[in-house]
Amino acid sequence: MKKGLINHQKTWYKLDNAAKIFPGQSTSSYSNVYRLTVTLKEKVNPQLLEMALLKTMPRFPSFDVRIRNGFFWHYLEKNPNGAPPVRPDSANPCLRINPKENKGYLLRVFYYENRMSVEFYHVLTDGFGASRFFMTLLAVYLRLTGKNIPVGGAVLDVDEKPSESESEDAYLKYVKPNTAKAKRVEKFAYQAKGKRLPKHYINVTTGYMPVDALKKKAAEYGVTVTEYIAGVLVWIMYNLQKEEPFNRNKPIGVQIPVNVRQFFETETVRNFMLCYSFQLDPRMGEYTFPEILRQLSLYLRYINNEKNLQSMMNGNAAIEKNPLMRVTPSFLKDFGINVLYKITGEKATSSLISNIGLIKAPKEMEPYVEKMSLVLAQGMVNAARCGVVSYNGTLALSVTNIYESTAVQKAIFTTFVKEGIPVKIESNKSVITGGEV
Amino acid sequence: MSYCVNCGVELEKACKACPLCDTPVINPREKAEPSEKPAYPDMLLIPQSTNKLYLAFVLSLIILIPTLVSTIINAMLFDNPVIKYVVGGAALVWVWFLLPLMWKKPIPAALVTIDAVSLLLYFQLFKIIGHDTGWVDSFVVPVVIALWITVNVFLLWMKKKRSKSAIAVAMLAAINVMTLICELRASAFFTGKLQFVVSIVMTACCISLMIFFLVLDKSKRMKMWLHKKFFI
Repeated sequence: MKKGLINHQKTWYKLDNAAKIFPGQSTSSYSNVYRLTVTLKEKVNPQLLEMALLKTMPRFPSFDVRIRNGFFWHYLEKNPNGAPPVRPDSANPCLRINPKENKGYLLRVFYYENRMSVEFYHVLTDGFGASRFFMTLLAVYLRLTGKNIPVGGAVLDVDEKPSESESEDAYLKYVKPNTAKAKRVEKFAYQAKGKRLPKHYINVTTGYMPVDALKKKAAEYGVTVTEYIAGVLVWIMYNLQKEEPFNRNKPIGVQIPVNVRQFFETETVRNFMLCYSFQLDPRMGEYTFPEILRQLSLYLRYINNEKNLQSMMNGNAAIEKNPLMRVTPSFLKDFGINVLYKITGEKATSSLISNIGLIKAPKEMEPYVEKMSLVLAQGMVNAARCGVVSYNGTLALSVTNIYESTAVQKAIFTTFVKEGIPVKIESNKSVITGGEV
Repeated sequence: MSYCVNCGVELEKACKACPLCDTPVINPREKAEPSEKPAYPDMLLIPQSTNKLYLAFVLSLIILIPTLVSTIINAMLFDNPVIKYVVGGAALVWVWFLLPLMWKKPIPAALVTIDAVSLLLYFQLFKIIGHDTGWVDSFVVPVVIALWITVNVFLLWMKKKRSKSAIAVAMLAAINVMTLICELRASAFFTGKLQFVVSIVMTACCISLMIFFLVLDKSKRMKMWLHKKFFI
């Protein structure tokens, strides 16, 4: 009995600071799920993928869990079911992960022809942790198909015992309660709207672009690739608002999640990210594209520092540590978060761009991998939520949209084409619309 | 490889039209091959929604058990006829709120008819128990019938797509008609005369609002002016 209790205590995790908000936010139409996809040069074998998953899951104990309801907070506990099922893929990715389905796992694994995808509920991890898990799973799978893939970069050693620091709550480690706490004050931003697709349908368009061409173009403007893509989004939204018959000159907002590991050292594969928000005020006058890029770039460079991130972390932790918040039952917290998020949450941003950067993996993997992409779930009102990932010289930009019209996607990708960057497009539009596209 | 002549983006081999602008792909050198697999499978995953029948069954039990218990206790100890209102009320709640849950594709007109009939039956309890002084037949029955006709006419009218302003006008008209009928029947029952007091004020308000919405429906200029003056 005593031994069982000790084991039980070792195999449950409190949700980290970022994850605490997600169970309350998530609904059937707002899932907080994102997907990493890799297209291989040969067909995916589901049986081998299942075996690879069984080998990989124990290496990531914080992923091998199910979510449970505590009285005051939700928590994660070890899932006794081995591994999530491997399923054929569908054309509408990133649906809500129902904790009662999928053997209770908070990640889903799919295959379709040459493509293998893993969807993660944000409660589990951020883009960094997800890329570690995904690349390790891919390496194990390729090894099972007879390829020789060494450990390195994002590929972890599945035979190695997972360290405790990989499952730590890095927010708790770095929060300093007695230092400055950042407060978010943002105005409601412009939203490009249209006729909504039916429930559970989303429009995903992925554009593949050469990283070198993007870097060169970004360098011409004196900005980074993330700043350049974020600038394109702001520019598109700025122009869309100008074309509207009732132009309210609302701010154009873009949210940019940032990996906090760049300033605060940790090995954790759980959430450790914060979000920057940039807002452009069109009431100040006409903007040109280079002007927008310059404003965005200077703003991000000004706020992207250790002290600012520290204060943001402290602010978020202060909400969690508030005595009233702590004693409120979890179902009431969920309800409050849900209502609050519906009213204010997404309205301060017109768009979101999450760039998990260049995935570093062993060179031996490259001949077997064609391309990789990151797809974010649909927003509640945002017309474009963009996932960016780079691998082997190609950057994939996936735009998720809940509206029937593809005007936003068209504007984004044609902007790159006009800038001289070649774009290759793939989309789920033909299945979603049931048309011939 | 094919490119969209309109957008300039490179397209997949399986594409028949550009996903961004729907421009058809015409490349005589490279035709869309049916054998080429598209980027996404031809399958959609639609999660099962909450089992409405199960929910209706559980809620029915929640209503049924206390109703049954109170009926038995009343029969054994008090024998109070008021229990009939409780049982009737529970039945009314079931018909109004739980019956639509059990119906896969409810027909609005049929639901309204069932609701109206159940309401009329509920008020018959007042006659059975003896709490009726004639108000059920002279007030409740005509008002419920008028409400049933009004709602059905509105539903029939809504079968075509209507603008928001037109819906507002129709709803105001319906409210006005119902107010007139209610006051007409109430005054006839209580004073024996047909008189309009509250409904005249109501009619004036409704007509003013209806004119406002009708003008708003027609005038783009007024819409723009209102937007300019009252945007938040």
